[in-house]
Amino acid sequence: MRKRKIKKMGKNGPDRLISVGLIVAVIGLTIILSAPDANAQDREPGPNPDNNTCFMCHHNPNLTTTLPSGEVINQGVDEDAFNAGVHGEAGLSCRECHSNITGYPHPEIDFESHRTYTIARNTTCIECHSEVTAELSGNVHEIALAEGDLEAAVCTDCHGSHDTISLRHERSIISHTCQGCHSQIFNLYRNSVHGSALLGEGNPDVPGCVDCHGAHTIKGPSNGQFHLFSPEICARCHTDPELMDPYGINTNVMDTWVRDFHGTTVVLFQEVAPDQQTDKAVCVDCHGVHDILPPDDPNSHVLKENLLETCRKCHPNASVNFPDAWMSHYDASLDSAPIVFWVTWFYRLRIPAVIGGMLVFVVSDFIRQRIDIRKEKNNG
Amino acid sequence: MDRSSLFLRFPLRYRIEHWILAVNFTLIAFTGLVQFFADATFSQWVISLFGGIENVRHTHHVCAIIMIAQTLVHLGVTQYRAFMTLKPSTIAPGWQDAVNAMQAYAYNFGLSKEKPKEGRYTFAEKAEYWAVIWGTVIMAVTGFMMWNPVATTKILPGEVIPAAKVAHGLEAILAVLAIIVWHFYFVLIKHLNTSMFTGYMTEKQMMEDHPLELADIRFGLKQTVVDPAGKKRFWQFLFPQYLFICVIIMGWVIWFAYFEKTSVEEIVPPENVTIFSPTTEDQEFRMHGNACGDSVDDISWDSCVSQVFTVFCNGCHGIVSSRGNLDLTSYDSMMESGVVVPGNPDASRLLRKLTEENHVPDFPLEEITRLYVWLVHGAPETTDDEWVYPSGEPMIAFNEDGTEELESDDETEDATSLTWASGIAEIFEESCVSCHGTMQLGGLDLSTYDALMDSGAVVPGNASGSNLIQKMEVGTHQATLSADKLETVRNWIEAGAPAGDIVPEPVEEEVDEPEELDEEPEEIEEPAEVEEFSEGIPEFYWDTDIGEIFQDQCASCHGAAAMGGLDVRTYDSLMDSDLIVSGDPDASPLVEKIEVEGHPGTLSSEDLSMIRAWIWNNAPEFNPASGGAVEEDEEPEPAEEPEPVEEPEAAGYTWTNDIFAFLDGTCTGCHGAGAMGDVDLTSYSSMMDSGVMAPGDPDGSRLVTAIRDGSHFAQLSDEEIQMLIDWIISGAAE
Repeated sequence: MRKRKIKKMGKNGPDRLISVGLIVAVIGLTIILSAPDANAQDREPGPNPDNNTCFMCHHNPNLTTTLPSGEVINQGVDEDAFNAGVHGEAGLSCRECHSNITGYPHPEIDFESHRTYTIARNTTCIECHSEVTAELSGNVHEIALAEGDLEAAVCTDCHGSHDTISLRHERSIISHTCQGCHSQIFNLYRNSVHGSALLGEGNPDVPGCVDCHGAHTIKGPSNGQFHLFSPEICARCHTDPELMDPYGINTNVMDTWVRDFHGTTVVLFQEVAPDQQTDKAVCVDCHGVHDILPPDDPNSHVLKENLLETCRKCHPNASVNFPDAWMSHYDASLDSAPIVFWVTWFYRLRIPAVIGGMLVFVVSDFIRQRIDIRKEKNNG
Repeated sequence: MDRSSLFLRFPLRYRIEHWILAVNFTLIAFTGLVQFFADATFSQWVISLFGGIENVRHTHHVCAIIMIAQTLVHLGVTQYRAFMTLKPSTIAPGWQDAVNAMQAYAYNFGLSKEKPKEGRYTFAEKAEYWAVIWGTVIMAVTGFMMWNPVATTKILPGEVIPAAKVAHGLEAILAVLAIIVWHFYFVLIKHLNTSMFTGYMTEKQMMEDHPLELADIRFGLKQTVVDPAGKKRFWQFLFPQYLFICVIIMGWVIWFAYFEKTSVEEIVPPENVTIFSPTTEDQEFRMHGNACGDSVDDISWDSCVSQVFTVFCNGCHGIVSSRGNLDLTSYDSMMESGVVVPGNPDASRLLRKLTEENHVPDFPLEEITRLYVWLVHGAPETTDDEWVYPSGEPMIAFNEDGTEELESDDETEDATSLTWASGIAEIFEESCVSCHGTMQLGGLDLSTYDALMDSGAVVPGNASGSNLIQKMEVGTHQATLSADKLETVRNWIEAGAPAGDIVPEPVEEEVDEPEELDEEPEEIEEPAEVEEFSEGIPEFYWDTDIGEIFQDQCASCHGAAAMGGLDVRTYDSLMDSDLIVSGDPDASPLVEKIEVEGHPGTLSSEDLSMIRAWIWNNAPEFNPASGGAVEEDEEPEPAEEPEPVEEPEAAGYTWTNDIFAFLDGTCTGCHGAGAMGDVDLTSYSSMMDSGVMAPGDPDGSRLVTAIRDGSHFAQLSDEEIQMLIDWIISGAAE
């Protein structure tokens, strides 16, 4: 039974340790970033004023306008940042996006707030980057926005507006982008084994936000499916010896978990009832979500000394012996779990002995019986 | 086959017991094995058939309880039989069974001529019976451990749980295999034994499998002999005990099964964290300036400084990690750490660290500025805190100690002699302009007399009615003036807030600026520069100072390219441009352009100050020190030229009265300083120079045609265009 699981992991997970999410994100970005070039070249120059015209006023960092609501918005644009951004490099004109600006004086902005204006302007992005539309279906921010949450992130909240840069060259930027709205989570992540490696050392092997959550395809982690299938996210890297061996990390983690109570049930849920929530522990329930630490860290949730507390999150009456019921992702050995080891060997010997003895008797008895019957017939 | 050759083997009670066990065993084996082989496709199919793993487990558990109950009943019955009859049990294993088994093997392999002669139960049947007993005990115990791991590990080491899991699963495999190999062989293959259905066995089968029992029956030995004493003993003593034990065991099992909680029932969130926790307060701050509000009054730990620390510092210097033994999560913990010296930013390690050393993260300059201001003012915790002055200055407390402060007053000014130039500017310079200077906090600029008067913060002659004084006296203002200084300012305002025609420095003559401003009715205005250069207006010259600035900063556009028709490479070409109003920097379009209108290129404030001073000194070309011929102390001429003041002359429209009114704003954004397309519409002359105008001929005037052909970026309304045409037809009067 485990074989099937292992095979599955082999196919999807462990090959390239850079997670699928990242690859998808990079490919997506490549497409995104190359698209506007083509579009920009196709476009006729038209009567647009060139960007210099716009910057003549908008280079002023103190240029502001007041919305009907009284909110003051800054209209200054950092020209250097724009030119250094992907759109500036591609030679896009201001009016590619600000298509509502047809002349001076500009049309009145009749939006309630800066935020509603921003959200309305973001529909512009999809005109060029239409390939993202499919990825966005089910995007948790899109859903929140549709439900009327104005704080939900739109394109420019993550990618920037005038200073849109390629997210390819510096992965930590992505995490800092998410920090903008998810600072509490970021603060947990930044001190985690993954976060400190990425943000502190620039380690390319560890996941940033989108590697686990996805970028445009991001689903709400609070929904049951994400929790149920989250072990596969962890397994993508943690079952890959190529990625784990340099750090001396056990790659047997998925299989040992699946063999145990929690994992078995979760796998069954995945297969049989993928829409249902399960309360059985997955990786993050014990190791932590954003605050994952190495298992030998004094603050790790799974350090032997801390394990009871972790177990008690779900098993409030657990006794001090209880955590030993979990074999820490290792197969039973004489040293680590002698009782389990001996019981296993007892049955490994007993089953063949008993069933083998039975089979010998049954087969010989059957043959003897036939012989007897034939003899009887012959005699009779 | 006639009835007489049939022998009763299994009375109904046996058969019922068997079939309950058979069905229950099948169910329990199925529901158990699909869990053991959980990722087999067949298992998952079975599980979905049951409606999910939870139902499978529930079924398994119910079957387990039934099996335990059945075992207890069986135990009771066998006890009864053992006590009631005087005969030994027929199922008890004995040495003879081992001998029989060996003989059976030997016979099958041809090593023995005869089969063993067996009684009511063959060795095979006994083995199977005792295997069921053994298996049931193992399964019940290990099953209980798995079902109640919390209860189990209160007594036993945790490791028995996975051991129980191994034993339970493998014992199940063994049991199922044994049933298939052993039981099914004997009852289905060897002979089709129907006695478990019918209860009867043929004589032939009896002869073959149970010859000794058949003999016993024939000899009449099979009648049950009841031992009345034993029966009585059973009912009197054993049965009550048995019943008691049964109730205890079943109650115990059911209690553990359904009432003991192994785990919580609700779904435990893996992490307790607020998902949406934006850092936007500080993003706002970065985008729109001071999040504390425009006023320095509002900078305190509680009002906004703590935000800075939350965003930038607490990741490392917080509760989880307090790098460098520094915890910046609370005001108290910060103060305890000793990195802050209230009132003295330069002595505060906090600021030193952020500005001088390689500290990560890089602090935005605005944040540092804010921290600086906050530290200067005593690093207050709340906005209600009393401000302290920077070290070296006396501590100020307002109303309470006011008198004391007044006593320490040593330089009371003669109110009548007080002017902006002769002391007030100095006070502001010292205490106010760090914020209300170029920073213009709250829109207030106290660096020049003009700016102060423009702000309306001072009502000449009415100190108490002046916002400036009110603000300071209420006591909420962050920086304070010492009581004597405040009194000085007060007196000055009461005296009408004179600009002061006497500047104590040797620049008096220049200061005699005759220009009058009419919006402020009271006083003679002084050029703004007086404050900036209260030591006297420094002298700069085109050839030694100013020309260089223009050459370096401006000539790339306004040089050979002559953007906007402006060429600043030579003194003469610059002066020809009308951008310089000799003697009056504020009236000079050049200064206005750069300082106010957002010129694309900007000058450093030093450069600008030099140019201002230079214009104020009548924009001299040659430095006398370097041999140039220029008079030093000439009266500046207020220049009127740049603003058109001509009277409208025709009945029609004029540039000044009508046309420029709508061109300015709509057109001059591009066709102003930038002179897009070499068209400059900021003045009549520059417009005429741009060649867009043919007086009398609208259709020949690009001013009209460019806008009418629809491709022009900015548009004018039809009325405006008509006005323009009429004006051109009537000769385009200025």
